[in-house]
This record gives sequence, structure tokens and C-alpha cells, in this order.
Amino acid sequence: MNTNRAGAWVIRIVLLLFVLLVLYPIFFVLLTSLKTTSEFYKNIWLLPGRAAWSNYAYAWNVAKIGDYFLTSVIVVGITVFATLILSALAGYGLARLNVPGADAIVIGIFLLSMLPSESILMPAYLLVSKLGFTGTYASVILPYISWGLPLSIYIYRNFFQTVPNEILEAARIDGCRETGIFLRIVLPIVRPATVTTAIFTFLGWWGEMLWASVELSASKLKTLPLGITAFMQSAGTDWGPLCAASAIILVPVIVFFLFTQKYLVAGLTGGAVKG
Amino acid sequence: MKIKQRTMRTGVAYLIPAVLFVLLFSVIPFFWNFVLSFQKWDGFGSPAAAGFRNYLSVLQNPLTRRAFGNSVLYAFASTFGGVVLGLLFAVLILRLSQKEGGIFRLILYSPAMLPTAVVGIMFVFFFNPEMGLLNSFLRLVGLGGLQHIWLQERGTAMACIIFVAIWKCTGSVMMLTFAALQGVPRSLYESSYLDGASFWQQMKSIGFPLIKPMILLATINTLGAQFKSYDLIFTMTQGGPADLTATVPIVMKKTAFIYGSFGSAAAMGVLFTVVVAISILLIRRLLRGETYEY
Repeated sequence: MNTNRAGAWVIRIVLLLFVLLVLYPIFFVLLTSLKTTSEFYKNIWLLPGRAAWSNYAYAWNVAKIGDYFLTSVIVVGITVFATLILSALAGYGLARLNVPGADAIVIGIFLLSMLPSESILMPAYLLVSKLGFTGTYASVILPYISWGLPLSIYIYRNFFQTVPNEILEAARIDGCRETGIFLRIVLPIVRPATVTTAIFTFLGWWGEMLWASVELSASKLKTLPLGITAFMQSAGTDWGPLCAASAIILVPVIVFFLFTQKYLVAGLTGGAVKG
Repeated sequence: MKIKQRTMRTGVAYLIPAVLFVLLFSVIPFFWNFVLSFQKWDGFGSPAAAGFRNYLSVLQNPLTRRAFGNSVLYAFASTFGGVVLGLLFAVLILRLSQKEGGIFRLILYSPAMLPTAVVGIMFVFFFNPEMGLLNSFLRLVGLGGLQHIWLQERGTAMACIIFVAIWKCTGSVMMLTFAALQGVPRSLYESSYLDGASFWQQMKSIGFPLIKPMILLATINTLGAQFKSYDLIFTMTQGGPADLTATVPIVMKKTAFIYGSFGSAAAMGVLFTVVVAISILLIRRLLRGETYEY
């Protein structure tokens, strides 16, 4: 675009103000997580005199954030893994394997991905308790997998449709079996879809609260978001440890984001933009 | 033809596990919820037929009515804010160099990927009346008179929550619309530039109309996401003060698990689905209009 220098500076300053608004609350949490409570009450703006890592130790051990962290890693880890396998298989079937009525199924899947979770909350709860899973890992993992599937099948299917049929046919003529074609030829081609789906599944469930609070609020087993809200309600004004606990949830996400942002952007806009 | 049959069989086999999962935890609960909404049930014993009584009680109860109003307000206000700001960011960043714009995009997008519960907690600190950033800042610059107990006052609580929702949802609108604007060929602007059109005129009459499908997509995505209000509101106010900021999921959970009225909660779920669907159709209609190929 044609922008003169003064104009560019106006834009920069406007954007910088918003950057400040975005970053400062995050920075404040990280900063406060390293302050002792008395230091914090003396002046909320200053940098901590000496980093109070004890806040982290307190949050991790006494407030049991460590346990919740492990629970979340297990829950989200299994969910991401299972979602990838199931949706890759289904997406490939729908895109390239002559499943009868594939188009109708895809429309159904798309509509399902728009369904608000509030519309199935109660029966899903009843179902899980009928299955005897309430308060266990399965009570969150199985529904998470199921609810993430429509969107990830949809993403995979769109990517699989870009794989030329000729490649598959050539492999078939050479005598390659369908499983072999899927694992050795098609999956490597759609690597970006796998990364995108993994990212969105991870981000989607790492912070999920509504369902986890329905299933796990009476249980000892708690995911991180539940654990930290419980901690917030009991800790009240103990800002240091509370900020340390928040930082423990935030840091993996930030690190994850910095490593994968290239794919994240591609996935957000993939297929929706003309090149 | 043998190949076609073989691939079909493999395809169905690949599809079945996912379909079973979706049937069990989404499709069956969806229909069950519908059935449940016509029953009186406390979660124990056996359900009894209730006709439309659950719906009537939901529609007559001032609390649930307010919850629906709040959900719609929250979703529409935050979507509006997010789309306007997101578009503004996209347009501003378009005028900067690739590298500089990339850094701004990365930072301004970052709230979108933070877990909502943590965002809620962060802003509880932000709005805290004594030590919070906002009040401390107001005192610092000598505007102490503007201080509020932000999250507990009737006039400010909902506005603060919507502010945070916008803070979080703007980034993805920016990403989507920026990518679309970048895809508009420069040549389309050139003749208008020679005719002396300003940048804003170019955007208004060339850029925005061309990326209208993407604006629609971003708006619908955001609206759909903003109806999921539980995490943010639960962490920030739990629906208070005096249920003033309670939205549908908050009241629904209470109705089922505290008041033990599963039927009414299910009826709320059905009505909520209808509200969300109508909202999305409404937006589609509002933003409809000719699309241009380029």
C-alpha cells in the first residue's frame, strides 16, 4: 500500500497501544507470580526485588496444581492422539474412498460442529453416569474425543480432497493395499492437516471448563482450569501463588504457540482464502 | 469395478469408529435432550411426562429470561466489537511492511489461544478494586474518582465481561480478514489510486466488498464461539452480582445440578439451540449481498 511516513507512525502508535493492552495483563501475571505478598501490596508496578520462586512451589505442591497439571496432560494428550487417528481415518474415507452418501455425511458433520454443547450437556451427563464413568478419566476423555471429531474430520476431509486421485490409483495398480496407501502415501502428504488438527484440539481442551466442572467437580480428579478456579476461590487475595498457578497454565500454551504459530495461521485461513 | 467396491468397504471401515463416537456422545444426547425437555425429572427415579410445562416455566421465570437476554447481549456485543476491531487491525497492519506487520499480528492474535478460564482470572486481577491494574492506574494518573468495584457493580459488571470477551476474540477475526485482504490483487486498487482515492476510500469501495464472504465467515465463527460464555463468566463473576451477568449455561447448570430440575434444563438447552441457530441465520441475512469474483 502507499503509505507516507507520518501515516505509518500513526498506525504504529495506534497498534502499539493495543499491543500494550494485550500484553500487559499477561506480563502482570508473570511479574506478580514472582513477588512475595508483602512486596506486591507495597507496589504493584515495580519489578520483584528477588524472584520469589516459592510461589511456584506453593502453587505446584500445596495447591496441588502439579497434580492437576498431570491430569490435564493425560486427558488432553489422549484426546489429541485419539482425535487425530479417528478423524484422519474418517476424513480419508469421506474424501477418497467412495463411501456411499459421503456428501450428506459431511453436511451432517458440519452441522454437528456448530451445535452448542449446552444442547447436549444434560443427556451426556446422564449417559456418562449410566456407563459408570462419572469422576474418572474416561468421563472427560471420551466426550472430548467425540465432540472434537466433527471439526477435525471436516478439516482432514478438505485436505484429503487436495490429494490427486492419480497417485492413489497408481499405487493400487502397483498392488499397494489400502492401509499401505493411507499410511505411507496419503498421511505424509497431509502433514499440515495433522499439525493444524493437533493444535486446535490441544488448545480447545486444555482450557475446557463447563464439561469438566459437570463431571469432575465432586471428584478428586481435576483438570487444570477446574483446579485453578477452586484455588482462586480458596486463596482469595493470595496473589503471588495464584499468579504462579495461572502462569503454570499459560506457559505451555505460549511456548506451544510460538513453535506452531506458522501452522496455526495456515490452519485458520486454510481453504478459506483464495491464493 | 472390483477396486471401487474394495475402496468402499475400506472407506466404511475407516468411518465407523468415528461415527460410533459421534453417535454415542453427540447425536443420541441431542435427541435425548429433546425428549428430556418434555419430561419432569429430578435425576433419580423415573421421569414423568410433562408436556410443555418445562418450556412454560423457563419462559416465565425472570431469571432464565434474563439469562437468555444476557447470552444474546454477550454474544452479539462481543462479536460486534471483535469484528470491528479485528477488521481495523487487519487494515492497519496491511499498510505496514510484511515483517513489522507479522510481529503485530502475532502479538494481537495471542489472546485468542489463551485458555478462557485463565483469561477470566487474569482480568479478575485487572478489575480488582484495591490492587487491580485498572483502579491502580486510575489512581496513578489522578483519575481516582473514576474508580469502580468493576465486577460487583450493576452498571459495570456486564460491560467489563464483554470487554474481556472482545479482548479475546478480536485476534482470529484479524487473522482471517487480513489473509483475505492480502489476497486481493494490488492491480485492483491501482486505477482508483491514480484517480486520487484515499486509502480509506479504497478499502470501503474495493477491499471490503471483495472480502465480504470472509467477513461473513469470521462473524459467524465468532458469534458461534461467543455463545459459549460459561468459562469467562464463571471465572469472573459466577453470574453475579445477583444473577445480573448470568448467561444460559450458568443458569442451566444450576437448574439441573442444584435445583435438580433436569427437564427444565433440557428445555433451556433446546431453546438455546434455537436462539443460536436464529442468530446465525440473522447474521447471514444481514451481511448477505452480491459477492464478487476476482
